[in-house]
Amino acid sequence: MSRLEVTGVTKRFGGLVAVDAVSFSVEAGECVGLIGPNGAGKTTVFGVIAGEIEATAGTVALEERAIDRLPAHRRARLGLARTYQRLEVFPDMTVLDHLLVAQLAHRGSTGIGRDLLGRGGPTPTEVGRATAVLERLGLADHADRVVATLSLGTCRLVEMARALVTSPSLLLADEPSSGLDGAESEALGALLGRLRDEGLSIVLVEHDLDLVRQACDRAVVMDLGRVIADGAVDAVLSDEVVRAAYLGVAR
Amino acid sequence: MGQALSYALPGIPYGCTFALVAIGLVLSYQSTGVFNFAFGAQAYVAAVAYAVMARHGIGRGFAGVLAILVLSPLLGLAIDRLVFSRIPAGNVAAKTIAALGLMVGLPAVVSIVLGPTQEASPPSLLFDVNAVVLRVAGTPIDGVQLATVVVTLVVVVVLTGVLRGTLLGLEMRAAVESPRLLRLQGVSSRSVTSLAWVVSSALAGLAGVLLAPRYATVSIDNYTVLLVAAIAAAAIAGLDSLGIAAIASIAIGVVMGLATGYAPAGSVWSTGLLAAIPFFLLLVLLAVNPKLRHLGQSADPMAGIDPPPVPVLAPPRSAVLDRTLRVAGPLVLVVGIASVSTWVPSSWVFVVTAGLGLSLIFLSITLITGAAGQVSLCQAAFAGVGAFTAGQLATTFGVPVILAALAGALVAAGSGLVAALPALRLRGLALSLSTLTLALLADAIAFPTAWIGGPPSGITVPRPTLGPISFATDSTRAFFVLVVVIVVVTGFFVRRLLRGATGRGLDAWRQSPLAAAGLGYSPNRTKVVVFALSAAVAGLGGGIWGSLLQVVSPADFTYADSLLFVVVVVAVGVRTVAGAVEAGVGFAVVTHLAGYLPNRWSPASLVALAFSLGAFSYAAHPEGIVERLRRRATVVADAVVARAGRPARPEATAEAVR
Repeated sequence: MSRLEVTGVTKRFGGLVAVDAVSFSVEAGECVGLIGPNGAGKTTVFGVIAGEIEATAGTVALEERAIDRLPAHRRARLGLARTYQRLEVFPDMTVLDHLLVAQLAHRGSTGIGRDLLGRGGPTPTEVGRATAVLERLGLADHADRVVATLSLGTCRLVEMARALVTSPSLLLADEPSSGLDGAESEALGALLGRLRDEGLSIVLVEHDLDLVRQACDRAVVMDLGRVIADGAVDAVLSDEVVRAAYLGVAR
Repeated sequence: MGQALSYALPGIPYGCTFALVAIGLVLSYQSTGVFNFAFGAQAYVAAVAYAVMARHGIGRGFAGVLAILVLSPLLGLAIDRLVFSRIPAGNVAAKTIAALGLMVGLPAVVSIVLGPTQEASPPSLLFDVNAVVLRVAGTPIDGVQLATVVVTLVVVVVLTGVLRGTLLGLEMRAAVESPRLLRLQGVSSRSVTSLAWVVSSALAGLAGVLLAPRYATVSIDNYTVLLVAAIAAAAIAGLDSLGIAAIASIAIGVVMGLATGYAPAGSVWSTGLLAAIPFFLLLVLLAVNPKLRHLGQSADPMAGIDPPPVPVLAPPRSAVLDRTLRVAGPLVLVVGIASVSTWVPSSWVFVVTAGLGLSLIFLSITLITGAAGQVSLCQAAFAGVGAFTAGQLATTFGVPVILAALAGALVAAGSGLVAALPALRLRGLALSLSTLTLALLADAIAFPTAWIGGPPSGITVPRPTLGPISFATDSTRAFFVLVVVIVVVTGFFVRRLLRGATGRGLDAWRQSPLAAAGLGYSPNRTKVVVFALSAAVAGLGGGIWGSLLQVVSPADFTYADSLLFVVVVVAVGVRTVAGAVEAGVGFAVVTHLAGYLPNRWSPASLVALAFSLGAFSYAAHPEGIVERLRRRATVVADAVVARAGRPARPEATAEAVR
């Protein structure tokens, strides 16, 4: 059973077809690279899966359940987590608070009643989970830093930690390596590999093909809104059509 | 048919009056990116200047030129340079609050300079106001009406030409889209924006001077009502097209003309409703037009390459200062409360109690503006609902006052729920607009109704009794203690909300709605409940306030109070419970002290001006004046400690990084 099943997803913005009948699936514990030149429609596909953008046609299913009609926050509570191409952090919160608020948001109730009774804050378990995730991503030293004072690369890691703290089943990572240096990028690849081994399904939009080779089992290549290749990473990257799309050779 | 025409025709010049303002709103939004709540205040300043010059015998042509082409542009330049150029493009809340500061501050300046009496209506700039200049289909058109129609036409044509057809217009629109991209093209976005402010301010001046003769006196209230009607027209135009804004204004004018003509004359209710047509229209538009819901949100393609905005939370305070404050704070509080309940002169007991009553109303602003970053402009109206409910229940039905005040809080919560229904879909500017409209509706329709707001002379809210204890006796000292208890209890729960899941969730949503939703956060239910709770707190505050004054009337809870309250709380500190209490007591004390000044100095205006200046710094210091001073003290305390040989705090603070 596929963890994520994208079937015939199309998105039109006026006359522009940004995503054209895209289908692919991701199994449990699989890391799939979603690659392609700029403007191929990768981030739009992420938006459709996460529920930020309404598809013109097609369906998205999580664990065999169609989620097309669910708003973004409901999908998140079903175990879908994501990071963003354009950084979406909470600038005046500390790193630790990012992970705590993520868990509060995941509870699904407003929490107002609990707040009034004085029991609305994060539980010791939630704080423990947050600390563990920070530890794992090497952010423990930054826990009390306000995020706006951190470098871009560290902010990417904060987003990653925030996405992971609720133990999602599917992670959509949108260019997580941009802003990281070589060593950091390699560490990120290793981390993604370990998460996959623990059963997390990952879709990785990435321009750093070394990272894709390192972390992904499979790659789906998009160009001009369409899937042009889908298969093992090395096979796909040596494919003629894919090379043409990336290098801009006349087709 | 002929009758319909005779009703509809006067609507055209009437529509043109707010067409000028609507055009000004669209122009300033298009060319400066600011939804200018202060446009009416700018028009008012020009109108007053013109009226004063005319009164001193300066020829009206010369006076008009001075007011419109010299004073107004200078005012626009000053507003841009001193206020808006210091606010980052994406900070909608700060822009809204700065505009509110101007809305409160500009009339205050006028009143300080010229004294509290209102200027009488000046002569018409272009044609004589009383002369019938021409007749259309038998309907007389007077000078002011003709002037408005002609000027509106000219302004629409000229400005549309400039904005759409010239390089300057292109640059102005570009400066709004992305100042950075414009700078990269070698154009100074700052001077383009300044010029846009100069032009839009001149237009405000033109509207102000032209329209002044329509009213008996030159008063800011007329310009505010005009502003909201104009906002409705500007909203129809999607804040996008000057021409459509003008046509929409005229259409609204015609509809109102027809409605006035066919409505049964004389009933207060119907005249109130008629005047409120644009308000209802605006509420509907805000609810149904998706474009308006996202007003003011920056779509700068270059926003992503900027570093994230500077953090606004407090840096950790130094341990020394923290300990000192932790001991000194409660000590001051206890001594203060003990003093007020024993030896302080009773006039001051009244002042402090009034301040505490205000702090309750201010706490409601802390919940909405402090926690959710949304600016609600109808909190005084909720307080009014609470006060009038308490008064009606207590006087008409003999309900004990404490119960009546609690019932008032409940009714206010109910009206908060109704108000929150549009708020559910709105945020930022759109929410501020819809709440301002609700406040004006309460002023125009709800509160003047006898079974709500009582007779014009006011409605009695007695002091409470609790068993054998009466809070009416002994120079309000006992009542003071009661209010302290209520404020402490309310503040306790508000603080729990701010620090708990509610406050954290709203904080996350305020900073990135996208990421908050991506984490599973749904703001809707929280927003509605917080809005209702906030209305309940305001209603309770209103009831307490009423019980202190013992008589309340609609004049105690106007839209202008709503604006002033937001400005005061934001200036002092909107993020904390302590900030609300400091704002309430501080405002009451400062107002009382200002009362010792001679009346010709307009003490109330001086106070309003002082607080509105504080609101301008919201973008840079959203934590407010008190917290800012405390942080300054932190730095000093650190320096002292460091000199004494102990290490200063190791981590970089937000301030230091900036």
